[in-house]
Amino acid sequence: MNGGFIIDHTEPKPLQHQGNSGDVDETSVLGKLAEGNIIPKKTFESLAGKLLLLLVVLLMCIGVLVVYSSGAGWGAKKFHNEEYFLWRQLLFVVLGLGVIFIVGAIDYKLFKKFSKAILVVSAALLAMLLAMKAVGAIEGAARWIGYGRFKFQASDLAKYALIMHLATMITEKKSHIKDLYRAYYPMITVVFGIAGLVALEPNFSTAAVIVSICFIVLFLGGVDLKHLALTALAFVPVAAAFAIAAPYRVARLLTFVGEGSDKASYQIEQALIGLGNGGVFGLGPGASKQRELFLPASYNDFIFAVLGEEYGFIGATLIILLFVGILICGVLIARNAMDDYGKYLAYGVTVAIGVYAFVNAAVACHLVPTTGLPMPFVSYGGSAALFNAFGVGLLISISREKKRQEKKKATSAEMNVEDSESKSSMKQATDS
Amino acid sequence: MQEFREHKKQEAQEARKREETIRFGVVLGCLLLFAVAIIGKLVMVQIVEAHEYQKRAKRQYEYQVPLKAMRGQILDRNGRQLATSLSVRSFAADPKVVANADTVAQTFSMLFDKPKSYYLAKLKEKSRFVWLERHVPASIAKQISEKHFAGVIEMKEVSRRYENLAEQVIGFIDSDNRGISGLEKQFDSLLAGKDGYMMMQRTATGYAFPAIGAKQEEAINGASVELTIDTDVQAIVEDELSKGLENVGASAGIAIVMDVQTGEILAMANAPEFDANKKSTYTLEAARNHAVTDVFEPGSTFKLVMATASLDLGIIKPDDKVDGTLAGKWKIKDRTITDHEALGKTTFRNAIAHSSNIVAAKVGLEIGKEKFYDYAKAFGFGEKTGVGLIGEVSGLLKPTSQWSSISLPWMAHGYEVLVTPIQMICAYAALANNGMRMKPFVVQRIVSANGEVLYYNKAEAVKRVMKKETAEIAREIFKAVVDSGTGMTARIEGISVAGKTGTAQLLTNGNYRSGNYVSSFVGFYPAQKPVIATLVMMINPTKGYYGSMTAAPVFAKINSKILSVLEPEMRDEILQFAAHKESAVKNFLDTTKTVAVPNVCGLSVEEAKEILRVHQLDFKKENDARGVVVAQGIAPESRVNVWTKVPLTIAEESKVPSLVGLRADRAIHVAEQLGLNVQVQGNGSKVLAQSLKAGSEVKQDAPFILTMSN
Repeated sequence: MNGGFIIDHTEPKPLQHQGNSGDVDETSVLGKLAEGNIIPKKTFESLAGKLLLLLVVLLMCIGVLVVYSSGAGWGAKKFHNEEYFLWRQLLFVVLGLGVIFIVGAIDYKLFKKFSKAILVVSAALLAMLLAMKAVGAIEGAARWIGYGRFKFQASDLAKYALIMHLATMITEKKSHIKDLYRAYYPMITVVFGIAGLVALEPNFSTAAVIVSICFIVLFLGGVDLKHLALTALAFVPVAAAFAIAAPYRVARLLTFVGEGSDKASYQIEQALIGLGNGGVFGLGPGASKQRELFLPASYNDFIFAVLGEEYGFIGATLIILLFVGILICGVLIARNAMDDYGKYLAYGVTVAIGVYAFVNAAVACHLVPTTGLPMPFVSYGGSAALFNAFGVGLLISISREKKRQEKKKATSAEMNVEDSESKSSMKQATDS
Repeated sequence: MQEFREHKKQEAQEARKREETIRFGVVLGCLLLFAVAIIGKLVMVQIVEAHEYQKRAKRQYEYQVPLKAMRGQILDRNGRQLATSLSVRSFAADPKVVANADTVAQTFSMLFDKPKSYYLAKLKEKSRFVWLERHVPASIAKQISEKHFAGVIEMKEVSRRYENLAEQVIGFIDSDNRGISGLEKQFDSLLAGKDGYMMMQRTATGYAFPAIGAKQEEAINGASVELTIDTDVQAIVEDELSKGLENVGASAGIAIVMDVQTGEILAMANAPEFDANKKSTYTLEAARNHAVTDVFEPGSTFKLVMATASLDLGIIKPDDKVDGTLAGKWKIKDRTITDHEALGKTTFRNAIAHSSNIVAAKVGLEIGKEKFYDYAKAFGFGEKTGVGLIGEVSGLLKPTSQWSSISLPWMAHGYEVLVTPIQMICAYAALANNGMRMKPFVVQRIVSANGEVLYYNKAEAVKRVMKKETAEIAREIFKAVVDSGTGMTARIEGISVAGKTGTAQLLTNGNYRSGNYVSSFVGFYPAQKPVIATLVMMINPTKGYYGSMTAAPVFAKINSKILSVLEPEMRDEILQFAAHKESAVKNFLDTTKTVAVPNVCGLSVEEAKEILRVHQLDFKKENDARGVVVAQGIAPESRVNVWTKVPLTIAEESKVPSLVGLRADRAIHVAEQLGLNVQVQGNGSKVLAQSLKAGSEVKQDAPFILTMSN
């Protein structure tokens, strides 16, 4: 209903944070605008979206390159095709770009209406996986949904469903966001409900990261700090119990604190050797030596190590900076969003991408314990690529909202003038 | 109020906005901090500690592959190979890289007929290098390398190939290329050379390629050892010694041929022989070079000391009368010395010619023990000759202080003294060389791989044993031994030979076991101006035991044959004294030179060609195929004129050859080269039958049964 309010707003204000209540002091807002904005918001705002797209495309290109390099050996070994990963990753990039443009063109507010439904569906899918696992239809980790070639990670869907719905909830509960019963409990229940299902797959690290992302979004959404802190505190023993329940998690943690056995630390050690051997300038494109046998899953969870090995400190830092760029573009889009839903959705997507990227890089250079998270846009994998593309599409869509509204307004104005022209105009608006 | 409410609302609004901005700042700050932390860690790993990681990376990508130095050759005096190195294939594995240990073990188990668990155990070892199979036949090696197993390393190794001549002198090596006997052991460090290494880079999938720009060290091939031994002479000596051994039923035989003027050993043979290419065929006894390692009581050959000393001291002259007693027996200090034939009163020359023990004892007593000891010592008895072969012993010449009252007469006819065959021939060579004893030697030169002479021997006079005149007179006496005495069986047509037979009871564990004898003949020729000395010794002959019956005939056979192969200068020197009636022989010897045919079966055509060329032989192909040589038209070790064409039958690569009559190891080698699954029946050394018909198509891995002689 808040979003609707903004659309109804007749004033073409470039910056509109407080869309929740009608009684906004418009003069103060305007005053602020007059003070702080030398660069016209109009230009900058759309620039953020374009820049974001540029950075994402850049990362995708790097991703294709590094996936090809690190996956060639594995491809040759597993599929008798050196280019197996190259073509597949290229396909994902093309599909991903398609998704970005399609989602970018869709009004993101549409997802607000369906966010609950999407969340229920993803929760149902997660539950179904667990049920299938319980009856023995799935052996090992129940993570993938779909059939044959068309499979995706249920947790990828769940992550975005959760982000979308959380944005909806925060927007809806904005007025009483600090209320424990009316705002906090419902939201935290949804978060832990979904994260719990993911954790049971089992995919503990993804669940943990999802919870972290949600906490950040809740924090940004204005939830009472006390509630968050207490939850986090209560969550510690639960997390500890969960971690200890599986030996490999303990081993990973022990490795991180330097107590682990050689076997557990093997991946990390090899990742570090790769990075260190890359040095400042790297070994050169395609020259990674770690990728094939020494570094398992080099095209996926440890792609950052291969990247650092081939392109050195310069390349690795560039990747981090690209993600910092995406982060900044994302938060700019969020800060400039036309409504609260857009804002929190943009925050959520941006934080998700940033956290995934940084955690992945941090794992590879042994800054945090091993988690099996892919690096967005860079790591091999169709499911993650498409869902991240969806996220970027959302950000683009949010960044375009103002333009969309202006177009709408212009259209309605033109409609008043000349009826015949309006149709083509409208068409243009949806096209762009 | 309204305004106040408005104001409050506005304030709350502002506070919320502020809070939101702060929270946004905190989140962005934390995320940026995270990014900074990552970059900081990257600085540590990729810049500060990069060196450490690079070292570790290098350790894991690069490894050293030894570049095997080619073991040096052992060559005869004419540069013919007695021991050479061939490269063969071996397989090892890096257990850490082997991806599919099960398949690898399965494959090896099938090919080498060992349990799979044997290989699996090896593949589970912690080491990064384990041998799987060494010295693998080419056909099997191909089957393995075709599979491209990750982590399985194929290596070229060097295997030693011997001509099987003078094998006890040359010795052999173990599977690690270390010499374990003979010259191979003695000069191991020089022959072995220095292994180099090459840095190999390992890709993560286990394939290896030479590291570009990495340090590597070329292998320095071993030095070659050039011997004084003449392959042709050696072959003849071995052949005749073996035949002689069989004729007299002896348990062992020793023969040495020496250039009396220089001390060069032209041949040194021990029978029975063993196959140095087949480690399983040798026994420690057969591998020993008895010529330098064993001592014997020499018997009559030792009368050399008594005869030359008495002549040199002027105690006696060849034509002086001596009393050999009519009974052939002479009692001294309760012990009786017996002669084989009673000579009565006769000349000193005749007494020596007929090997009178009694005369020897009597003359010995006249010389006196101090003088006798001095002469024996001067001949080199009781001390090592310095021939330069490992295991040489000094024998035993007791100092006079330890002599009993009968020591002198007994020593005079060859007892109470222990002598090595090399000492004995050196002593006779001293007589032959006008009384000057030369130091014997077998190794002429050692030449490093780049041509530098590391070691050389040249003729070296050790000691004058007697006056030149005495030597000339003494040679007359020893010539009489062959002309009319006990050594008549040592005669060589047309050439005057001097020498001495010897028969002594074999001292076994301090006892003279009756019936065990050591029979020997040691002589030289031409008597006028000797060139060659030869010793033949038969140990424990069972068909007759006198030196004249056992050793002397072998001496004659050896020397009449080696005349044709000796170097022209040597031959000329010998033949200048040849009797006129033998000019026909002389002419024949002048115009022909013969060589021993080497065994080239089992070698590739190229290898066979090369070896034949070195032996001054030509070849002709009997058929047009490109496989290995399966038969040669002239039997190995037979003698033919130089540059004779040796017909070679070459196996069609896809046709089963006829291997009947071939030496066991060669036959197996040939069959394996063709990829047949060889099974051997019997443990003899020659192939009697083969299960697949010659000329039939080779089916890979078809069972092929070779029946060996027994």
